[in-house]
This record gives sequence, C-alpha cells and structure tokens, in this order.
Amino acid sequence: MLNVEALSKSYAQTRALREVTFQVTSGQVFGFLGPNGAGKTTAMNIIAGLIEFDSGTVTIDGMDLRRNRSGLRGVVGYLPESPAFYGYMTAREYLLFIGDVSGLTPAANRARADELLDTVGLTEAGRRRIGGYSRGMKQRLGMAAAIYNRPRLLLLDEPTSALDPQGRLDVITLVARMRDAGMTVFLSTHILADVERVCDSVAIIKDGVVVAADSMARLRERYIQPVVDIVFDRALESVPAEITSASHVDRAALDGDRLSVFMRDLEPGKRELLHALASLDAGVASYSVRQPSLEDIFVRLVNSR
Amino acid sequence: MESSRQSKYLILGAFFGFFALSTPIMLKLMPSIIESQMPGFPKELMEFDAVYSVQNYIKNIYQLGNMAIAFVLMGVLADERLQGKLVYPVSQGASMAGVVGAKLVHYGAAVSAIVFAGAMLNYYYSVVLFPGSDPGVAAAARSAGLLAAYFATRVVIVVFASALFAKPLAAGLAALVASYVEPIMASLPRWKSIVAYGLVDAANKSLGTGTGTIPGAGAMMAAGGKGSEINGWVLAAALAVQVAVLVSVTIWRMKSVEIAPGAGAQ
Repeated sequence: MLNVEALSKSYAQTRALREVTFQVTSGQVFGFLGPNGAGKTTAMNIIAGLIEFDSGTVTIDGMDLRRNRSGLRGVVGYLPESPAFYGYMTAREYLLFIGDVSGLTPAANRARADELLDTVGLTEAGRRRIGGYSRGMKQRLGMAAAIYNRPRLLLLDEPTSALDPQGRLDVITLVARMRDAGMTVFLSTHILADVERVCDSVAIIKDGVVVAADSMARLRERYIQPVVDIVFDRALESVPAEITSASHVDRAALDGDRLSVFMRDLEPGKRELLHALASLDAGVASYSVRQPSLEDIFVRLVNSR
Repeated sequence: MESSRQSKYLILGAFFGFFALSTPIMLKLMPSIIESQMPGFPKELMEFDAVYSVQNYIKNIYQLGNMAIAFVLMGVLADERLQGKLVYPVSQGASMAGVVGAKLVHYGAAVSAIVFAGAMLNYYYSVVLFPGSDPGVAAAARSAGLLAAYFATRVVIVVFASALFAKPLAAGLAALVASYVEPIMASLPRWKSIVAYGLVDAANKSLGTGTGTIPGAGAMMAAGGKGSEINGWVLAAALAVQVAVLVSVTIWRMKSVEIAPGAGAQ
C-alpha cells in the first residue's frame, strides 16, 4: 500500500529524514514510533502530500507521490497532531465543507456528516462552533474529517496524545474498526501501549533514521533479550559465579535479594539456569520469565544508537 | 461564512459607511469649526459643493480604506498557512487555485459592493447637505464603480501579499506600501494609465470639477489629479494583466509553500 524508499528531507541545516525506508502492507495498522523530534511528523506531512522532500520515492497504491499528487488526494486521509479548523464553523458545517471539496453530492454529504458525527461521538456538539471545543473534541472531529471520503490510507499523527484513557480507548477501537473495514492505518505515536494494542507492524525512527522496521512478532523475536527475574529468600552479597559462568547467560544484575539474568538464548538457558540455582545454598522465593514489551525494544533501540 | 462570522463584513461596512456619512457632515460643519478657531477667516474660502464633498470622500477613503482592507484581510491566506487550517481541505482534494480563487472572488465582490454602496451613500448625503450642485446619479454611479474597481484590485494585492508573507502583519504592511507607492508612480509621465491608482483619479474626474478647499489640507490628490488624461482601455488592459499575473503568482506561491504547521517557516 505504502512504499517509502530512501526518503530524505532537510530544513536549512537540520536533516529531518535520512534515507528513510519502510513498507506498509495493505489492510494493516502500521505503528510509527520515535522520540520527539525524530522526524515522524515530517514523514507524515510528506506522505500526506503537504510538504516536498529532497530525495527518495514515496509510492502509494502503486502511484508515485511526486507524479500523482492530485490523483492521490482522496486516497490518503490525514489527522495532524494538532488539527486546525475554522473556529467560526460548527463541526457539522466543517464536515459538510470537507464533503464539498471532496466532491460528494449534497445528500450523500449530509448523510456522511451525520454518520461520522455519530461515529466520533459529536452528534450533540456538532451544532456548536468548533472554537469552543476541547482538544479531545477537536481530535475526534479531526478523525471524522480524515476518514470523511473513505481514504484507503489513513495517516494518524499522535491521535491519542491529547485524550483521557477512555478517549484513547475509543480512538484505538476506532482504528481497529478502520482496519477491519479494509483501511490501511499509519499510526504515529509515542504511547507504546496503544501500538501494542492495535499495530501489526512497526517502524522505529530516531534522529531521522529508521532503526527498525518489521512485524511486531518479528521485532519481539529479534530485539528482545530474554530476562529471568529471580527473588531469593535472603539478600546476596554478589552474583553467584555458577550463574555468570553459565554459557547461555549474557549478564546478571543483583539488587539485594533480586537477581535479573539476561539470557543469550532463553530455552537452553532456562534449563542451565535451573541447574545453577539448584547448586546454590540460597533458597529461591520466585522465578519468572519477564514478558517482553514493545517498550523494551523501543528503549533498547533508541538508546543503543 | 468566514467573513460574516468573523465580522469582517461588519467592520468594512461600518468603516466605509461611517466615512460616507461623516465626510459631508464634517464638511458642512467645517466653516463653523474654522470660524470658532480662527475668527476673521474669510468665509468665501469655505464654500463647498456636493462634487467637492464626494471628491473629498474619495480622497479620505483612498487613504483610510486601503488601511482598513489591508488590516482586515491581511490574514486571509497567511493566517491559514500559519495555523495549518488548509491541511484538511487540501489533503481532501481542494485545489490551491480553487482556494485562492474563491477568496479573491468572494472578497473582491464583497469589498466592491461595500465600496460602491458607501460611495453612493456619500453622494446622497452630499447632495442633501450641499444642494444645487448635483453631479448626477449616472456620474456618481460611474465614480463609485471606478472606486469599487480600485478597491477590488486592493483585495488582489492584499491576498497576494498574504501568500507571500507567513506573518499576517507583514502581509498587511506590504500591501499598504504597494498601495501608497502607486500615486507616486501615477505622477510619472504615461504611468497613470497603467497603475490602479488611475481608477481613483478617474473616479474623481468623472464627477466634474468641485468647488471648495480645506485650509491646511494641501493637495492630497495632486499626484492623480494633474497631468495627462487616462486612457480607459489602456488602464483596463494593464490592470487585467497585473491582476492575472498577481493571481497566478499567488496560486504558484501557495502551491509551493508548505502548508502543514511546523513544516519550516518560509
């Protein structure tokens, strides 16, 4: 659906994107992660056709962005991080205006506006001026505007950052519904729990460079170092030599009675570790394999380069 | 909707309406005011007629109307770029030519209508307050039409400046400078027929010659009021070319600048 190849963009002396490459498969929710200032919004503005880029190619649905800019309008829906509206309009008037520029017939436009106001929970507020809306309400209206003409690729830039937990859940549920309806969703966020909940694939960007791009399952497989957490019945003075000398153990960190063992290979390492623990004179109060999270991958990748 | 809910019509209407009414009233009161300030000032120097009253309005409205239009409309594109308001319409299929064209047509028509109505209102009150020197409805309408056409070209200038500058105030000031430089250009030989200020000059002359003078006011309309006659066809053609060029550059500029918020200031 979306193919980004060696995309580069600079602002004066700042290189916002450096040879960024990733692919988004049709019908997926693709998470685009990175710390603030990593280049996420720049990449999204380029894909939305709003800003130019220096080099590289962006292909959407088989069409080159540079050559088909006008043809791709309507294929891509975009929710910016801070959506800006005409504050003097009501939400319904704004959606009708978006429908007008999208070329909908008046009857279809009215029906679509009412349907989407209902979808994003703004039916009652829809007749009030947008100028009086909260940030969360504007975000929901932005979502309605972004999906108004049923785009095949939906770009969402930090859609949940301004929302309360219920609002976040509503948006994530809506994103999942969009995917189920066949839409491809490109989701930029730094709320990793949202990504874990809804994304199929992920790219992690840091300082304008993609440091990892793969499916969630393969990222976990590839980047998460298995960790076994052991709690002893008493505090230890140092990490036992039986554990550090085990061939599948990479390193171990001791904090009183708690020991975290970082494994090179979990499956054979677990058996080896149990043998080593059995040979110690300290009792084991608990033993658990830490569940890998996207946060672990993110922190590891972002901090390691 | 934008204009009415942001009170832009109201501001422009009130502005032009106020001066349309106040100019002949002030002119009527002028002899009494001067007499109270300067006892013994010869009264015969303060006899005005309706033509002079309307011409006085044209002079005032040229100076102040440019300011009003520049400052009311200076954010028409700059503000939308700055705040990212064009992101949704453009990403949903609106063409930049359509956005610029809609604003130009809308504001151009609205400003022309307001200016025309203001000028006719001024003509009516001038004739009421200074009876016996009516230039005629046809001449007044022709003058009002020329004035309305002039201010329509100011809308094009302001919208152009608004596309050129990211900050609305910079756009407003640039449009003002352009408008105030024109009378100087119009004073040069043969230039009067190719700059929009020629319309103001023609609006003045179409009323005939007025009687009266305001002490101390000087020759504010001197640049346009003297020199060679304006060739209407040449002026129309020159303005058409200028408007076409400005509109094309405005559209090109809006297509080439980055309209996403935070996308790098230009």
